[in-house]
Amino acid sequence: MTRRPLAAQRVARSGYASRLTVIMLGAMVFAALVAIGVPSRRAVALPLYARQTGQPCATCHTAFLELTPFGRRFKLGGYTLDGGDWSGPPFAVMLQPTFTNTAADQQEAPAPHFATNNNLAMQQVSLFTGGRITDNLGAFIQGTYDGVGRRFSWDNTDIRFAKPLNVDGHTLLWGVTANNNPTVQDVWNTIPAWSFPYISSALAPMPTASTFIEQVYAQQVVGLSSYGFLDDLFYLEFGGYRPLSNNTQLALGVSPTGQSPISGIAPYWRLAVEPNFGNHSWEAGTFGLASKVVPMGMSGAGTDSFTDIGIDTQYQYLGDPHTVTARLAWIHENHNTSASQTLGLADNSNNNLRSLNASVSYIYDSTWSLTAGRVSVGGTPDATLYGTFTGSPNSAGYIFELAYLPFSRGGPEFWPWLNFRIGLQYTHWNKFDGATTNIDGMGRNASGNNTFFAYIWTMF
Amino acid sequence: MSGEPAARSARLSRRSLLGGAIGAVSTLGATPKVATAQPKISKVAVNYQDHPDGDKRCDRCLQFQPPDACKVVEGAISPQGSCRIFVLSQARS
Repeated sequence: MTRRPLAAQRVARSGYASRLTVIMLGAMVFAALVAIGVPSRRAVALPLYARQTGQPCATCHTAFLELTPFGRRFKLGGYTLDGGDWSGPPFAVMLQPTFTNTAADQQEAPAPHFATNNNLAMQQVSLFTGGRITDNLGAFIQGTYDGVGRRFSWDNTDIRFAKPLNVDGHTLLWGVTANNNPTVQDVWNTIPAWSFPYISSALAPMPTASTFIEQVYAQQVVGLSSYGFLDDLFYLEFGGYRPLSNNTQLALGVSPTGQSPISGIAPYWRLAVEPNFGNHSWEAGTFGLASKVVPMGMSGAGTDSFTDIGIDTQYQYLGDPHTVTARLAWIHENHNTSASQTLGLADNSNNNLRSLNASVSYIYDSTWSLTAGRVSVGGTPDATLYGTFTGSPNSAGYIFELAYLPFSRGGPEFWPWLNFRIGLQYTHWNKFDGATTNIDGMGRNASGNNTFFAYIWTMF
Repeated sequence: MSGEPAARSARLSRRSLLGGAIGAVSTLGATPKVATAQPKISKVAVNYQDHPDGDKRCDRCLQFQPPDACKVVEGAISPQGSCRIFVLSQARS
């Protein structure tokens, strides 16, 4: 693609910056005016659950979508708890208008219809349904229009049966979840499906390597697992995932091109303990997924095997008005890539990856959220497998985010279920795809991928 | 409660809208034949205390069910108690 003259880029960037400033200021002013000038009522996180329970956003979320102890138990209970007086249909809508700027223009536009930099996008439009179906059966079902890929598909889905029991004086909440994304059923904000950052740009460069449990199988599989939560303290879950056929994926809006599907059933496990005392909530646990996969769907050489084992911990101080959350997850993945090696898709017969995600948030009055995070991935070099210029999968960076959530404790009178998360996020890359400088052989530096991302995450 | 017919209608509506979801789980044979109590939230998870927190008092909360219960928190609830998820009831304020 022809690169524009530098002066023109500067003018264009200045124009985009002005436009962004107007949009962001407009949104903040609108939200502030609505928050200050209009009588407030209860508001929402996923609004259909707020309508069902009669509770405000801040009951289930410190700053959505991070869950509180109440929110975690609402989910483990199968989304069945009620308490509200809503009698309308169980639907909610999510909009994610975004702006993405990278420090240096990308070599090519990140997607058709977009520019090499300074992109405005309606990143996602989602429709949710679910909630309580019976006393013990409930659901979280999301369908999404991807405004970057410009297609509609099914998204995160979690259908649960849950039932409380009393066993020899111990309380046991047991349940079964059917879902389409390993870790989407989890209730702590440490492991991949729900970890920080809760939203990131779909138009910014992302590291090539990630472990298989980090969203690689999202919406490509169906899984079933059984769980128990004993004495409101110990959590144990075990289940498995199998791939959906190509035709089923296409029917659901998912493109199977380039996938390495699971062969057979991939077992998934989760073990955690969550003591709560006063305003403090602490969790420590482990999780994992073991899968055999057919490399790129090419079955001639057998299967590769991947074993992901993670450990995680989360601490929350839930005061009023001050809330602090610290999250940490570390994943180690062992690859046996002998099938890929035979097919010429990998240099090594064995590889490993390590992934770290750590972050701390301070939240004031459920309204302002400030987060700093560290993300990194590292492992054995394999130029053919990763396709990076250096052959290395190593990347590391920091993420900073400021978010404003005006309606966590009460929405405007004219539509009390409206909620916003208006955010500014900056990602600084120390290393990207194995290098700090010249990461692609064409002189691009890791810092060129530093990303400024603004969003107005809207729910109603 | 005056909202009962509406609530029942909503439940039927949800059933009809999400009937397919029931089918997905019915493969487990897990659909209960007898209705069981829905899971409530433990007191420790909401930091329940048997004394008020300023103006926050269970008998002024939207979720309180006289004389001593809560729609969402399990166990006996004191009208003078309080917890983290207090929501002021307009009718009781």
